[in-house]
Amino acid sequence: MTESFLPVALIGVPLIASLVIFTLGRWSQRCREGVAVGGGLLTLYLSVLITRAIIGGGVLHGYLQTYADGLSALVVLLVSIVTLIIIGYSIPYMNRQVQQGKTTAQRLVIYYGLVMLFLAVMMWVCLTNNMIWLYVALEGITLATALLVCFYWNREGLEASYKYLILVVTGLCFALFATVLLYSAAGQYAPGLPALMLTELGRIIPKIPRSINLLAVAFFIVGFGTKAGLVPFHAWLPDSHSEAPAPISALLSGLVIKVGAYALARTITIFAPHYNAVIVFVAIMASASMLIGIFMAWAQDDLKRLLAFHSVSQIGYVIEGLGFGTYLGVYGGLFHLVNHTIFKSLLFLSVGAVMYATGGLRRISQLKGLGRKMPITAVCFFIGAVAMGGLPPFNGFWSKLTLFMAGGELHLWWAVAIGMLVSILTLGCMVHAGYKVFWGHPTTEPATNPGLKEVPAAMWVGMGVLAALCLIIGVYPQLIHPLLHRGTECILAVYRAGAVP
Amino acid sequence: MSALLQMSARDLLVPLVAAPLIGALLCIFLKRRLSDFVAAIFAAITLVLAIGTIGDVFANLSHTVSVPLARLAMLGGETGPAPLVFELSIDALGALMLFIVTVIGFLVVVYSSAYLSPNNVEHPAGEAKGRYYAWLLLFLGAMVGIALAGNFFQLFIFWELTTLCSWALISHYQNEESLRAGFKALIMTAIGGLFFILALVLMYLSADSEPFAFDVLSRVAPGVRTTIFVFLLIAAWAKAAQFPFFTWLPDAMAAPTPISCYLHAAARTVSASFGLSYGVGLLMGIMALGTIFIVVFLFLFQDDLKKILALSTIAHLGYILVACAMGIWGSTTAFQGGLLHIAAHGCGKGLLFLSVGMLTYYTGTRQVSELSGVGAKLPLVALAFFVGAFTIAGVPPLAGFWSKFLGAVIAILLLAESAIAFGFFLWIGHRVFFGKPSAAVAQVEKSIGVMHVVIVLLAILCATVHIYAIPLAEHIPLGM
Repeated sequence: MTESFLPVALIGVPLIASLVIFTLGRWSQRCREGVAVGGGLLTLYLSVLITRAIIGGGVLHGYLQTYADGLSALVVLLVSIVTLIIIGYSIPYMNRQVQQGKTTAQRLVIYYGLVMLFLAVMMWVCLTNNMIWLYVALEGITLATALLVCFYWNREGLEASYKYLILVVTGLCFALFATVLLYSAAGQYAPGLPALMLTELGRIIPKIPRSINLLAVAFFIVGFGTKAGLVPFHAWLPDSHSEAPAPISALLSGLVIKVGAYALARTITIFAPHYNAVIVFVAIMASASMLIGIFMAWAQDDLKRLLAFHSVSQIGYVIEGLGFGTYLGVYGGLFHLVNHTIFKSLLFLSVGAVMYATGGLRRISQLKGLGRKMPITAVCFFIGAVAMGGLPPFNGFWSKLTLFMAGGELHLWWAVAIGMLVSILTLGCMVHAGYKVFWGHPTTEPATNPGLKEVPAAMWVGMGVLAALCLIIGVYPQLIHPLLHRGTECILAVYRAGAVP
Repeated sequence: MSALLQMSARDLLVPLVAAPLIGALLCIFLKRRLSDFVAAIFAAITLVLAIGTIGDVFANLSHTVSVPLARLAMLGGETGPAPLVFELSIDALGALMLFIVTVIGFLVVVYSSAYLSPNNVEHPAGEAKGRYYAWLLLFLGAMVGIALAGNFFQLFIFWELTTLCSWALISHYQNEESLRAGFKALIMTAIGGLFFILALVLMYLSADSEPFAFDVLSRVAPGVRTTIFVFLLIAAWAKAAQFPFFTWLPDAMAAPTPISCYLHAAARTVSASFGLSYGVGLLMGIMALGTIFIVVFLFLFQDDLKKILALSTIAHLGYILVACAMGIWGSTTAFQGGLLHIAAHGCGKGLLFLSVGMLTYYTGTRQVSELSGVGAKLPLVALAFFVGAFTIAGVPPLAGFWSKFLGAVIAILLLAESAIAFGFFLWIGHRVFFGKPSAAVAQVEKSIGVMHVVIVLLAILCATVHIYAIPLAEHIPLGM
């Protein structure tokens, strides 16, 4: 256990960047974009430092009850890489939106300011050890992203954003209830223990009566499950994902719903090993999420809504694994969290590239044969599709395999079967969509438009990095094993009420 | 060169898998003639390395060479030992596969350089050659990986890699028909892959150490063993296009070599599964027989030459699976005969596909009804077709093998089927190659090129394949 300024610095840097953009950003375009990229780079550097400090063993403590262990390091690193890519992608994308008159240059101040604010709060979520502050930070994320969802300030965007705010805030209230419930119960049954510390939950929970614990778990699942987009609390997700600007969709699906999963990883994994009912309950919820998500995805014509429903479906895998509470289960859940962030951001950015090149078209029925003019985007989309479909040698396969093994270990064969069914349906759905959009002979607009061309390098380089990550992790899954192993170890140590290694 | 000659199989295994993969990476960035050249070079390197390795195996036929390469830490759990998941190894069975895969792979690469050209009457194409070769070499690499797999896990990874490659290759022309066929092939074989995953999960959960090794089936409880075997069998059915998954292959009209390679998995499983119940063998045999007869029935209504070949492939894979089922019942000779047929069928059917490919290249059609009198214009193609037909017809149910262990009924059924199919092929050959040239044939100009050389080489291989294959097949044990 080491005192360190790193966690606070990691929250502070993007926060300061955000304030700078809000105050100085209106003066020059270079200032707001430069500060955003610089802040993103510095955040990435600090995340790497934190990861290096933690990976060998030990945890970091800092001011304001900040705390970093293996799980924090994993998510923090992931968030800073993906956010940096999204910021780089946003620059040409949002400038094109200004040229097309969908927004004004002045409003980009708000855009970059909110993205950096989002990054700061995101870091806070991953680096706090206090359950109340976890809740506060989660609400902070909701606010920052709700304003980004309605960035175009049009009717659909406002509606989606309103729905998003109401549903998620209501849902998160349940998480607050659960926290309060545990806190008040701890006062009676486990006096003297710090009941609001996430790392102390493992010692408190065995002392609290079963009924209260189960109620708390249910509230946590409703609360954080809403944030994660779990069925039946997912209604906000397709609307907000499809109405937001494309880079923000990637942010929402890649990162925001993962925060819900992160919060669940911090909480339900500690209850699950004590109560078999929790494992089964979570597995039922997760399987429902997978099935309903994939069925809805098959029915979509709008590419962004299609991807949004796939997120609902894929988050089921993550939460199912976390709910298992075993080493393999938690490992697989975290692994799928990482993988889903990578390939889903990649897919949303690819769809964004299609919209960028075609002037905002995103319906499958309007698009055909784009692959010849946009080869990089097409390859990126197919890599994302196959990775999500769980075919080796791409990353999605390894996490799904781990989850299937974890399910088999607990003899939950029905959950394994559903996972496999959804896997094949996902593959079919994504490849089918890819066929319609990218392959075939270009016979109609926009594919025949001579002006159609590949997106600029600032956009495809980020997509290329994500696609390469899909392949590299797929070919060599040992690459991120140390991080995932540390994260899993830290979670298991908390529930066993031992010292975090 | 002398250094290369002194290298043993152990040193050659890693470069052998790496060569086609490196070639595939290079080809992505190359165009036209240059990609022809590079692809052929890398396929040739693979072939040379493979021959070196096989030579070493011949020196000591009952010996297995293996090079363990990687363990998967996450499956070791918190403390346990991580299972071995990547291991290159070669024995007689692997050598048999490796030979077929690399020789035919090389010949197909060379053939493609002439086939994919603007002069092709059926599919004039010369673009995107780099992409085509990249997938083809990746496919070759994946099949080499299957042949050299040292455990079930690696077998599965390369197996799924071939799913990906065959999807890309089937869809290569990107027209409606090929896209649909590619999609169908992808989904059906991926479903098979899921059963393979289930088998892997069961192995992992029930074996105490090295859960993916080939001998795992002998180390688990009998009930689990049967379940694992059936799951693997379903996976093999999907890949080898057996009933009820047989519909994707005629649509895809995929080449037979990769498909026969999937039987490697079935053969591995059978050779490793000592003491499986008779019921399982019965299931395997009945399903295979059923497939064979459905296919023979479909045969008679086909007019498309490539579809006829694809259907015949399904039937022959059925034979091999019947032979494997015999293996489960304890017949080593039947099992080895089946494996021998993998080699013979691989060469023979490869030759048939390539000669039909030339037919369509020159005439632009592959409908039997539109073709006649081709023999006068393309005598070499006619010769190759008949050599191929004889090769695939002769071997499999070498009556002696079967009659020892089988009731005469199955032997008679198989012989009857075989005779029907062979007769059908002769009839087709007669129709297409003899008689008066039809309209599509009359416009063909005589020429000679790379493709002719390839089919002649392959025809020679067909005639001689048993010289290499029989000693190898004789050393494949049953029940490890």
